[in-house]
Amino acid sequence: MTSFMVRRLLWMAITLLVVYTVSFFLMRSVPGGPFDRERVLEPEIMKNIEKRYNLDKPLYQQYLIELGKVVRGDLGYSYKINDYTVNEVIAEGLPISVALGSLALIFATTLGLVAGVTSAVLRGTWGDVLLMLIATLGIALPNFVIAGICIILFVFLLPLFPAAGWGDFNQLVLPAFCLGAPYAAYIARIARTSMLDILSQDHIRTARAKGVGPLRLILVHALRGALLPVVSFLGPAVAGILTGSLVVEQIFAIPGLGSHFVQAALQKDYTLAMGLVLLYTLLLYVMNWLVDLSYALLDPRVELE
Amino acid sequence: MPTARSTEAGGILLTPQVSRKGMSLSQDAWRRLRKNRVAMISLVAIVSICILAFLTPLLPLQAPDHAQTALQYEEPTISPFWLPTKPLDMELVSQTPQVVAHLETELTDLKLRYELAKQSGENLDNARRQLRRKEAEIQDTIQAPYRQLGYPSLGMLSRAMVRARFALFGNQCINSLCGRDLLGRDLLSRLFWGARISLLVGLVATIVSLVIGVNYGAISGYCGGWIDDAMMRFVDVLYSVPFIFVVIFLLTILGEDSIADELAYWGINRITVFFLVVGAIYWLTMSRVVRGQVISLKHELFVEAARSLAASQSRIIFLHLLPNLLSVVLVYLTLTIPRVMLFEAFLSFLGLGVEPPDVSWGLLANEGIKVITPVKIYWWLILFPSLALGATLLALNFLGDGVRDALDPRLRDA
Repeated sequence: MTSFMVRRLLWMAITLLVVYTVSFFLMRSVPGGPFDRERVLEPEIMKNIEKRYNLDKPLYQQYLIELGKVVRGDLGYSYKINDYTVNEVIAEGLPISVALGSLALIFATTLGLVAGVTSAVLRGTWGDVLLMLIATLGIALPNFVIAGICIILFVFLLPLFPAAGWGDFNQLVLPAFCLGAPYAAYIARIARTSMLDILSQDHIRTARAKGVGPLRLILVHALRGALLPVVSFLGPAVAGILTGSLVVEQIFAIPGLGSHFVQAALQKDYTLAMGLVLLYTLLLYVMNWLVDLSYALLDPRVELE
Repeated sequence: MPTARSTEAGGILLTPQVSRKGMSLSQDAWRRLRKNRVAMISLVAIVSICILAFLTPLLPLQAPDHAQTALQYEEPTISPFWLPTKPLDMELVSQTPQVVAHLETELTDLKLRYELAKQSGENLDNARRQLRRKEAEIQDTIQAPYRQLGYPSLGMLSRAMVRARFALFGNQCINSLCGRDLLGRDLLSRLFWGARISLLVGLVATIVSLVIGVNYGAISGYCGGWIDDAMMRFVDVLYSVPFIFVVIFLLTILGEDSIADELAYWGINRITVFFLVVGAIYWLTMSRVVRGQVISLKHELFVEAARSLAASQSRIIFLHLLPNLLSVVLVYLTLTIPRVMLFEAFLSFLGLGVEPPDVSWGLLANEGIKVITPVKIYWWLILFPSLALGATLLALNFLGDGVRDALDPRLRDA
């Protein structure tokens, strides 16, 4: 267990270092600094700016200085958002993205599990076919298409939700649904397959023979085993929800990290972009790690190594 | 039973081979695929979309980039079905070769001067700038008659197809069945032109990822030992990187004006960069799958036989092992294409993929969503691109599932 933790931590550090190094040198290899504006600045001002961002030192020194800062958790100043450090941007955006992402994840797992289990129980009926057709649709359609259709339906035809913005719960429902929908579809397919697998096993037959009711049979005896593949999919799902939030936050004008990242990329705000890439890598790693841990909790046969 | 049948019909006894003819894996798979109605419908749909996309310049559509601001946000309309369009300036087209020939001579001159400047090291920048400007001028001259009408930069084949279109259909074009956008451009024709890019990206990027993934996986699996360990560890590290962010980061850096200029000079435009970058991230799963397959195959007798005949390592990998991976690769290929197309749409949607005047479905959907206002929605600008993209991706997914079921029945329901 301890060695598993330590090894994971080590690999995470290596991955982060690789991501950091590659993006640092890519960033610095771009000709022209981040301060090439239309208006030419005074040389003194330029010098001050360069000093602030340590651009006046040789490259390897810059690398080490910046690396030291990053290790201490200081991601530097944003190039384009004045008077903001990357940490402050993250502090503002992260809670919003986390709220949106967790709600999407809850949507995805509940909808997906219910649909998957139902269609496994109803195997071969038209309900099963219909649910799986919807699931395939959910996988095939990009989330901005789903978002566009949802906006046409629920904002303009049936005015149930506001079109965009951030603040109250109503504004959160539509984006979270659009974000979670593809993953709900994946989870439904996975849950169906594993449920079918479990339902044909001996212990289910034994339980049925002992007179366990159908509801208890499915929810208690079968579901626990069927959850395993779903849990292992949660790692990629979290990654996908992080990615999807780029688009969904853009569409619904939500001031989370995703829209900051897209803006940073479009406006060539390299420090912010790099900080966010590092943050996302970290998040992804932690999530995968949690998934592995919960795997061991759900299935006593799994040993962490 | 072939033997039973041949004894029944005594006449065929002499040629039992005919009735004993087996079925190869691919024939068997094709037979199974043909029974899968959904997959076959999808296949037909995909093939027709591809053909239509290829023939787009030949179809009587309006020019995709022809802005008519007077017709801004015109709703989808069906009457009148035909609209007149501006004719292709044939005179200009026929003059082009002469002008281009003249410019070419100037270009060779400039090339010579550039070579000289390279040797002496003087005026290098200047010479290079002149050279590039001249090349751009040649392109402009060739494209001019088409650009006037509102076509994007066309290749040789597309130009011929546009000329054929005007010869065939004259100055008629189909009215905007799908409505018009902010600049009054015809959405229907933009959908068709967008299909070309979306499909091309899906195909080429998948092939790039295929080449990388198959070779990497095959080498890793065949070599085994510490090489395998190291190579797979590298894949593991890459797996835990949130790729989309890195790719966006990479694309912004490669999109920096000076770098883009330099790349453009080498004939690498944004779309090519895109192919490479997207292809370069989708090979991970492929390499894992291929590696697993190679490991299970490499102890088979036919590999042993090849080795005993002194076949070289690379010959064994590429000639004996890879052909046996065909089914796995094919399954994975059909499932990767929609994912890559989705990714392209995603990036174009964010404004980081295909750039105007080129269009792709993702870009069109983005344009539709951008013009949503609290009071008005131009539903056709969202609906039709979404439908086109959604239908194609759905068909590709169904086909992918069908191919998987047909080639590897064990994977069914997975």
